[in-house]
Amino acid sequence: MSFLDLRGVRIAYGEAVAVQGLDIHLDEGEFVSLIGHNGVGKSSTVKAISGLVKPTAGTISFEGEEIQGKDPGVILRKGIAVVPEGRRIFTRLTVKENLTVGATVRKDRGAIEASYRSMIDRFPVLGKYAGRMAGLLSGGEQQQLAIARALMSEPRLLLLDEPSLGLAPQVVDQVFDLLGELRNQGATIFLVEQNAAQAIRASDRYYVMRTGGVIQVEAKGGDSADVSAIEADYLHFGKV
Amino acid sequence: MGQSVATWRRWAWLTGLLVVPLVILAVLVNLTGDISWIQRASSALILMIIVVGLHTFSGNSGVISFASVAFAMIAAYTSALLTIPVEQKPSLFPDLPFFLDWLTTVSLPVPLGILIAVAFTGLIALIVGIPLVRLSGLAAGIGTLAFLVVVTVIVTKWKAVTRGESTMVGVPKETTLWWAVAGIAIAIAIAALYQMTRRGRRLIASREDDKAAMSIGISIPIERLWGWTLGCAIAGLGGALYGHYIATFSATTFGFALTFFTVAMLVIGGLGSLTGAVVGVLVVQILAEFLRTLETQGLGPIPMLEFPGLTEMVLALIMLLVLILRPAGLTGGREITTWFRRRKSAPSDQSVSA
Ligand SMILES: Nc1ncnc2c1ncn2[C@@H]1O[C@H](COP(=O)(O)OP(=O)(O)OP(=O)(O)O)[C@@H](O)[C@H]1O
Ligand SMILES: [Mg+2]
Repeated sequence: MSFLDLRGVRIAYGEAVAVQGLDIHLDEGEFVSLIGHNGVGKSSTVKAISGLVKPTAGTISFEGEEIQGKDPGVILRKGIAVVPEGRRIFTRLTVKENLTVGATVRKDRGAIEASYRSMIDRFPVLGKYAGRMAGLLSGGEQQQLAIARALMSEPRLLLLDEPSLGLAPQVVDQVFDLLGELRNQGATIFLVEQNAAQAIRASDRYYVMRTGGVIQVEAKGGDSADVSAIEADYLHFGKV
Repeated sequence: MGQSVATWRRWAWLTGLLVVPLVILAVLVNLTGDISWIQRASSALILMIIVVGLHTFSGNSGVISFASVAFAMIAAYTSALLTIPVEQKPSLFPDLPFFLDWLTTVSLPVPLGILIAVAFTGLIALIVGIPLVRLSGLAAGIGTLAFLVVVTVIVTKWKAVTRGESTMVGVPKETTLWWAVAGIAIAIAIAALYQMTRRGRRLIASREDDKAAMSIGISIPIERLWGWTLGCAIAGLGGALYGHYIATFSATTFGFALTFFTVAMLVIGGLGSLTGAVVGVLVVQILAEFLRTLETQGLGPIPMLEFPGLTEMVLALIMLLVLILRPAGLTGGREITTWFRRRKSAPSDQSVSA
């Protein structure tokens, strides 16, 4: 039994089919990436797992239990948190408030406060600007906040939708370093990226998604991965 | 409540910075000894309570409501029914339905009547809120407007209890300027506290990005129901105080005109901040006073303008202008406290916010 298992998932918006026949699985503790070009349905896949869109066919199971079509709050309570595309932090709340609302599904105030402390240890810049409106943070800081906000729910599976989007190369490196660190601490990570080379190197395994949701490749990632081959293949369809 | 010290400090600042100027204003107006000014100040402060109630729901949730005046009306009638002297009740309400017969034997002290009216209003809000808070956008506007119509029709038709189109009379006239000051202080303190607690923050988060809010486990209907119930109860406080202020009223007192005024005040002041609600009432009230003077007697060298409805029209135009030119209102949706903080830490902020 896989930790997360998508079988024959189909996602349609009215007439328009975004994803079809998608099979993906993750084991606990794995770092898996899904790469693909604009509009192939990566975000739709993430939204289907986190409950923001309902798949029109197929099953999504988490620890053996079917979760497709359930409400986002229910899925979050089962342990799946998401860092959405475009960060979507709450600009009118302070940095600290963003983190505490991230813990909405938890009850124990003391434990939430402890998580907050450990979060600002991990992301010192968030501690430094704790009382500042989150909208005033830079893009990279906002991305750290988005990740930290998701972690505040103490998820067992973290979904990330293009966390490197719009960030300077050094900041992208920081984000990937952070993901590597999380993985080494035992987190299970499902990363959606267009930044194929970096995603592949960072992950244990990766999938390449093509229009219509057909998975062409499923391969081993890591530092030794033959990124050039997949890049060549990937470049064939457009920019990386 | 388990809020942090910092939260309490921010609450005290926001409440203080909004309430203290109002108290000073009231004291100054009272010093003039001019009855008509004291009356204007009292009704402005009472109206402000209703607008603060409207802000508590609409400002934090981003969902428009045209129903706060309906809740003010419910509370005004409830408190009136509970406090009218026993001697007057048989002649005023000869046909009370059997389940309200007990009303003829009670005449509560006004503060208690107001308190019960507020609680009752909150209960009604909670019940009708369960379906209403699921609406947003246009549907919320229409739904809440429909509720206002329903309440108006009930109040106008249910003669035995509300005296129908005849005015409510015999209501103890006890609200003074100081009651109004106390009322607005309570309303601001509660509204400020709510929007700083986790509950309020969740509602504000859902206003900014409903999908992101849902994905971190915020239940939008539940958070809206909290804000709605609290906001309607605050509007109820304003309505009950108003009833005991004017002492004679009917359904038309709490109609579309008042609804329009309260919404205009919130929009002009700035939807999204408590400061906006307070500023909006003050600005609109002063402006309306000025226009009304023009309308009825002229002002200094300006002759009287024979133009009934001038006030409403100009206010509507200003509201349109604000909506077009400055959608976040005069305050930009900011609280007075952030303005102070901004100035204090301006040098270090500039590099980031520039
Ligand atoms: N709410 C929606 N309504 C209609 N069509 C949609 C909606 N959301 C996505 N789509 C369509 O579904 C397809 C997949 O979109 P999706 O956002 O999942 O792609 P993506 O792989 O995440 O793209 P990108 O790399 O640009 O983020 C696209 O053709 C898109 O136009
Ligand atoms: Mg996407």
